Amino acid sequence: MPRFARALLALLSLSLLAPLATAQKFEDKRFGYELRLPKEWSQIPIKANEEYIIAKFLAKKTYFYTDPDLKITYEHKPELQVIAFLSEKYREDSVDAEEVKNEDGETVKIRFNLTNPYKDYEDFLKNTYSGGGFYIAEENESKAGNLKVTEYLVKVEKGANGPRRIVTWVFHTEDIDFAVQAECFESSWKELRSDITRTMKSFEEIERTEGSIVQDASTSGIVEIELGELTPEERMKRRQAREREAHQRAQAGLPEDWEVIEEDLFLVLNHADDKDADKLVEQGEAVFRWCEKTFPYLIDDTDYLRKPILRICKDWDELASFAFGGRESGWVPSIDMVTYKDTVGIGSWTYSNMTQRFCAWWLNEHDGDFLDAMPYWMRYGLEYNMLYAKHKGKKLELYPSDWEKVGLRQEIKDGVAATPKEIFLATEEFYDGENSRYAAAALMRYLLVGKGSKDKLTKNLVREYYLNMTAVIEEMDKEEGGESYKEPETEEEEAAMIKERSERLRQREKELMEAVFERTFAEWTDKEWDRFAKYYFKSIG
Amino acid sequence: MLRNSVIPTLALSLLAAAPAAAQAQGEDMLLLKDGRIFLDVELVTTPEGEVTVQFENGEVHVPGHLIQEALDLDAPPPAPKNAEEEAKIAEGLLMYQGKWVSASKRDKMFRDEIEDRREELVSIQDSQLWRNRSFEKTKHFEFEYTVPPHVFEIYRDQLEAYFKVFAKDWKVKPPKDNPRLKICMYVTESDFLQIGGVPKGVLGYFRFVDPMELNFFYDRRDPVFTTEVLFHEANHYMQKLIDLEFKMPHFPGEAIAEYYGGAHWDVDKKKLTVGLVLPSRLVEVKTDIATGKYWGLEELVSADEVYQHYTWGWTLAHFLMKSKKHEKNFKKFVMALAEDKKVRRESVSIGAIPLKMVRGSEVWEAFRRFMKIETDEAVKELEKEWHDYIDNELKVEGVRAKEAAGVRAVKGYPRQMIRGKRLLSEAVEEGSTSPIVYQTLGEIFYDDRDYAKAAELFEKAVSFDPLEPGYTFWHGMALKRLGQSEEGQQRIELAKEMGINDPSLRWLLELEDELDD
Repeated sequence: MPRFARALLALLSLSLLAPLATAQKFEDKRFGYELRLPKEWSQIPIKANEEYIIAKFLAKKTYFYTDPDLKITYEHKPELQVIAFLSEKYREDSVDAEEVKNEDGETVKIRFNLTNPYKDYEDFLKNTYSGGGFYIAEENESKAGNLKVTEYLVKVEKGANGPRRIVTWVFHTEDIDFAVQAECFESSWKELRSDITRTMKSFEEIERTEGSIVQDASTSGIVEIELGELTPEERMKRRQAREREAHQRAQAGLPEDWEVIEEDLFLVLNHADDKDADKLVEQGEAVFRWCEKTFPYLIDDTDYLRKPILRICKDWDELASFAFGGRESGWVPSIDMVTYKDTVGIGSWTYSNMTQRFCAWWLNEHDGDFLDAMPYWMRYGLEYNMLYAKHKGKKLELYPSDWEKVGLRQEIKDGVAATPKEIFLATEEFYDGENSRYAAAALMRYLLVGKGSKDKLTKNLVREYYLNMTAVIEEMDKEEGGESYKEPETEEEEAAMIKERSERLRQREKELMEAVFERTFAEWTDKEWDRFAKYYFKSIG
Repeated sequence: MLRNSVIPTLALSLLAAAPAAAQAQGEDMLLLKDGRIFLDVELVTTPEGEVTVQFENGEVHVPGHLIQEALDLDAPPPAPKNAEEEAKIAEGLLMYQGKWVSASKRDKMFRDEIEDRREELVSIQDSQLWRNRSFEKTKHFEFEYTVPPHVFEIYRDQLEAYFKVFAKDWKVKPPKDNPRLKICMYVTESDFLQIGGVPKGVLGYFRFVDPMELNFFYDRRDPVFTTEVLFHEANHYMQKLIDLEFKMPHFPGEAIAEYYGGAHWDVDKKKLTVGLVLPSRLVEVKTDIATGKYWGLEELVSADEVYQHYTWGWTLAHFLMKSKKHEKNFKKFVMALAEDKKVRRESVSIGAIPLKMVRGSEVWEAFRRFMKIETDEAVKELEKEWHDYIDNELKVEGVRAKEAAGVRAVKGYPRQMIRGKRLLSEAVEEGSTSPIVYQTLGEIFYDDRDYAKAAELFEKAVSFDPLEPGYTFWHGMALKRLGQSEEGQQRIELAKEMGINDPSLRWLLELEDELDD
């Protein structure tokens, strides 16, 4: 869809919906309750597979607390959550495990519905709260109209970023206990007390007129275990189905002031500006195109690249509140990629992190095994190149890191820089130092887009290495599968087995590296290695 | 901070101070020495002082040595000891609190006393909630605690004695403007984790910047280990007293804390012995040796922060502190890290609090200087002396050592089931009275399908701690496997009644389903 049309649609969407900021009353016709929220508190989305938290709100104002001893200042936006505990009769309706059979009556899949074990608010708090050490300081019974209410005061003290207070009123209705929980700094309570108390007192039951209060078992909390091999067509269909489910879940319960934009390669859920969404989508598209061009051998006709969900929160606080403790990190992302409005733009940590996730996503979608088994030089090489990659129009361009421009050049001058051969044979310890990862990035860039990608000696090197690695891993797995394991019968045998196991782990990595190296570079001469090193170092400058 | 590298299992989960789901059966009360309180139970007490707790699903005989106090409303008066007492009883009088009174008066006074005591026990039970915690100040500490008073007193006294020993040994004292360290003691592990704000696996911690405080929990099933943890963390505080602006490096900090953690407090003689062998640590070291790994002196001392400072570091501290030749130099080395002008220190800030620290490489330089091993040959010589000490002097001996080492071998990583089984079996043969030992060994036999042996061991575990529902449950499981279905089921139902519905024990109920397989 052209950008101007999308912008228009977004404008229309915003004008038709009443944002929470000007209407303090919040109604939930699905669960059947309403609340009056303090002014300028905004609703934030719930995770798609959340079973207990049914609403979340965040204050606009940020509060600060300075530790008197450490003199560290913490900031926090007060937050309110509504948590629902359904009565036993609803929990009994959930399917615990379901066998899915094929036409021949054979079980091909088992679906487990993940039922949440929290039986009440105290159980939930004990098992989910991670903001610091806490205890229930007060617990009182009261009434709100005809409803019995349990009022809690929870104090968060040890190990917290500033002492906090959690005030929760649990409204006991006929078939649901609603816990309305507010959290703020202890030092901010004086200012917030009347607003929060008013919100608590405003709770009322209303008629349930929309949807079921029990989550559809097919869309949430499901773990599926596939038994046996799927055909490529079955795999594609499964991926398409999972994409649909994930997209549906992500949009269900999205607050009204969020924008939904269906792009060619992304589903964007935007709570920031249009420009923020555009920048990220363009970067993502450029990464995917680059990956297609660079790794064509990973693409199979029956592959299906699922559209990730690009969820852009309006600020860090909103992201933290959504994600329960922070943004996603780690090499392999989930389909729901959460980030926030980045005021720095291209080159910021957030931006770089998203670029890494786009690349990892594409690789995982096409060959997850390859991603798992990547040697360190390839993995860090790609990861650290993505940190500095920028799109220019539709094209992704890779750039050297600051360290490379200064540090690596100096190492080359001093004659201590790791050669390509050393990088190929390096094990995990080599990459403990971050500079080594940048060295791997320099080598990868040389091989993929630099002069190495055109040099007869090295232009197909990454592909050959990948193919050889896949073959060696398969062979090693077969060998290990064939090994018989004998239970030790004496202490001496037990000790020997432990020793052998710990040595084997260390050995396996080394053997894999050496075997792939041997296969890939069997025909190489010293002269060729020298030439490779020379041109590689020259490309660094 | 002490972490447990043992994989959490049943042993760590069964720490309920009182059964969560035990149903009210009567009006009697039972207070155990390990701090558990049972209110509204039905007791049967004999004149000889034997106590049985009546449940719907069976009776539980509680050995006298476990009991702090048993309050049975229907308890018969004590049997007369002589003819004079027999005569008084014949007149309708009964002895009560040193006086002969009428039977009706005695009954009233007794009931009043029970009511007062009930209030006290209810209060003790209420004070197990952190918001109702108790407070007490001693000469060097300010305690906040939720364990019962008679349990607290033991740890209070031994901590003061411990402080005295270390302070004299290392010539330290608390600052005048802050003479007491805050100590938070929790009645259960789960309370400690939740209120202390630390993840599972942490056994205790000392906050080394203002406001300083120490947090740990009472493991009623292993009070000796509770003391080890307390002493370890308290030792970090005492090391801090060497210089409040200095952060003791991981080595020797953790090594010394472990050394002093291996202490024993004689409750009756009120005597503290330090520097004992820590069997659980020794097992880890011996396991490393079995895999072919001996940590070198330089490798260990120069490392900035490695787990082996707790294990190999402890052996090194033990070796040096027990040696007349080396003890003085080692102490000089430790003090020098904070005070000596030649040691290179770096600045580090925790928030706005400036501290000095020493990097591992510099720790090694100082170690060489003060231990007088400045040549490579001297280093090798000391290293050999240390390794020989581990091989020849540090042994897993004695029941307690075998208990700890056996449990560690079975539940630690990597698991050494054969070794663990042997050590636990030896502990049993040598008269262990630890129910954990019998339970753990019983589970091994159960997994090996030797249900007869398993049942025997579980029964023993029950005899040592009959009110621990997990042991009774396992006993029931083993009996059912042996075909004794009725008795086995009765044991399982009894366990559930005692409190196996406690969330930390819920997983055990899933094992019941396995009996149908």
